[in-house]
Amino acid sequence: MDSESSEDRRIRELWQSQQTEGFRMSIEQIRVGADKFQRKIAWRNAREYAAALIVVIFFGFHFVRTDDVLLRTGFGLAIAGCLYVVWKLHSKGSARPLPKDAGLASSVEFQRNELARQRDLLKSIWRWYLGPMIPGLAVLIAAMSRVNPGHLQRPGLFTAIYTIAAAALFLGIAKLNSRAALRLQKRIDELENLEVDDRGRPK
Amino acid sequence: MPDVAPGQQTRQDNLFEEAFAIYGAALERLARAYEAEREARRDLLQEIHIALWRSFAGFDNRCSLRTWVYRVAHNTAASHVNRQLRMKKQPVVGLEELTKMPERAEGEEANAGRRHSLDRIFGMIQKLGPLDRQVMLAYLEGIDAASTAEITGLSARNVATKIHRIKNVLARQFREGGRDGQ
Repeated sequence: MDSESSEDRRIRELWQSQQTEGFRMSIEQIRVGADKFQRKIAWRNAREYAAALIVVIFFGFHFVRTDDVLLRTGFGLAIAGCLYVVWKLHSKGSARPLPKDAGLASSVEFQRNELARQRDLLKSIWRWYLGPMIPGLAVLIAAMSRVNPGHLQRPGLFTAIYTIAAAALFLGIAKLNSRAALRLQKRIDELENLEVDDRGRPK
Repeated sequence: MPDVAPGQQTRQDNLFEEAFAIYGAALERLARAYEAEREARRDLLQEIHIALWRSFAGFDNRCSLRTWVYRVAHNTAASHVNRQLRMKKQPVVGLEELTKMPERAEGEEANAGRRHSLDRIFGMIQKLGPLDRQVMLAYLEGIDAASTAEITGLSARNVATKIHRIKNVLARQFREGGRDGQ
């Protein structure tokens, strides 16, 4: 380190001579620990899917109970949409252990990749989250207005209100995600600037 | 996980043993810089050990053992911190903000002991975001600027600027009479 003063040395000596606990794991403990750690991550992901499971159970219950074909189709499509979202979330966005080649990636690169993964997930929300839910929702709204006409004095109005409310909700979610993706992009750009070398070229 | 008989050592195991023998204490200090609470620190240290052992399956000497060890350790710790930040929403500050923090309070013991001095350093480190934290830790471990740039992926100029700020921050905190830590 350049121009090291006695103060620099003193602070570093203080840091490096601090008492440590001598923590260590044997290779056997590490092997067992690696398995346990994988299970812990799997469990953490599973908890995140609990909400989707509740929705699937709810729709599944009504899917079985109803005799109306259109309603049943709506519930079926909603369940399929939900399962697709969970699958995408699992394959693209779930927590995962550090990759085996983590030592090849510098900290900036590692963080940039993680942020880019999250950004891409947020940016493509129509494809993997909102889009797959639309068919089920649309059929359910149409079926509800048809199945229970006695309860609804103006089924057309019911359909219009629910369609507008659902569209507003979806557009709101998309907008929030788009903003979050922009914030992540800003952080990615900042990281890329940190990597640019002294001659202004990317490292 | 490789299929090995109990007690049989693989190249991966040997690399881990070698890395632990050289950097075991430094990894403990690193974990302490990321996690103040003892139990959480042990969890993080376990996570680092496991990540390191797993990573050695792919170690092919493309970089030095030291660079590899610190990259894996810091990347593991950064993931750990990001998870904590999402849960606790703790604010982080940059080195710039740290230089604006008040110096030692009036009347505070100038020659407070080593423990107190170390606590101050830990207090500063734990306020920093992952990259600033990594540069500060590398500086404290005596890793030169070029190696720090290699580990972190920051440009040499950025590392030099950050080290300059770190020195200023530490000097402000420890300046009085050079009696701290003695």
